Amino acid sequence: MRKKPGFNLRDVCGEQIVVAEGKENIDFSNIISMNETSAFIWEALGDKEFDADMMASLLLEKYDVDAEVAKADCENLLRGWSEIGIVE
Amino acid sequence: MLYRIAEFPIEISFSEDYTDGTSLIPSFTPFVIGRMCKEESLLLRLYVDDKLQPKKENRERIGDFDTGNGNVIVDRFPDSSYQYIIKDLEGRACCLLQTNADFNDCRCALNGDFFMRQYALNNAVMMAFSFAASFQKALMIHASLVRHNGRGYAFIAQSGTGKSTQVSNWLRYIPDCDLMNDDNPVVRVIGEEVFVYGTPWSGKTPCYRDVKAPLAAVTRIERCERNWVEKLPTVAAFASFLPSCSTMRWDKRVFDNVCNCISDVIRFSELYTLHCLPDRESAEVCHSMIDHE
Repeated sequence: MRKKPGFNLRDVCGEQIVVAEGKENIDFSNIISMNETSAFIWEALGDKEFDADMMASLLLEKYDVDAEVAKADCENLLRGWSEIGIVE
Repeated sequence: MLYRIAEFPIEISFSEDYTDGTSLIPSFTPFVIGRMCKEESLLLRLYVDDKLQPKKENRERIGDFDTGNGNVIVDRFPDSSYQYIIKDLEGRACCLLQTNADFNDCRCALNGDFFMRQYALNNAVMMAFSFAASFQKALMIHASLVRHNGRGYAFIAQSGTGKSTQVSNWLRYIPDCDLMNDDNPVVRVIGEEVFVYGTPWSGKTPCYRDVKAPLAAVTRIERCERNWVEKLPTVAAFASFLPSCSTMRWDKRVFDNVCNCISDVIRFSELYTLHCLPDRESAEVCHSMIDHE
């Protein structure tokens, strides 16, 4: 998986949101609200190719969580990102 | 000719082919200024010359957009300058507008009869102004703007939702109200304050006023079976306000400017949704909920 270009994280009064920009995303009018953890992962992924395991390892570096729980949560999160169309 | 709109000086000049170009933009008359103050600088200059030719080399077609007020074809060039072809409501090309990347140096050619040219020049200046102003923490918004007790109340809505009805109910039933603008006011962040301004663009209502007020609130109108007001938290406020702001999603700098400016408006002002019926009570409920001073 990879983040679609133009889906950049913005700080709006302390809230983390993703707003689509760029010529390719003219018709994408949804705004995605991210919590602190998902915003951290989104930023840390940069434009690299990734999967749920890689997301989980980013999470484990920063937070004190159980590896299995992290993996399951990241799989869920990635499924959500796919459904709303911000990764490809 | 010099004008000052939302406290930004702009200059519109005409080639010698135009004996009286300013007659095309009578709604700008209240905004005419003799000269600029010492500390001011021009937000933009626009030169109207029908000999201007379309640029074809290296153009990147961005798209053909329905602005809700006629279509606009947008081309971008490698130096981030732009070319727009503005069509009127009947689809006739009436303006070729070329701008630099900062929208402060613009040229346009007009086409058609007097009414097409009027429409063309109004729209060309509005577009250039919207994008140039975004670099100065100002937004052109699609809204109706009411002044009440010296403060500005902006109402936004999808067309047909009842924005005009709500605004006319405020003017009729809430004391000390007047209309500042009915279609395209400007919102401007200065320091930690937000102000709203009347402009030469006001849709079908001839309300072209050089007026300014502190912004009290931005309220989205939604139809509902009963009247109630919802104060919007940050993310909902952003999502509600963004579609009412003039921007270009494909231009990184302008889109950043607009998003940052919206963020400031949310920080220093208040955004609401009024769920309402088209009745007198809705204006009274709205007024009592959002007027804190």
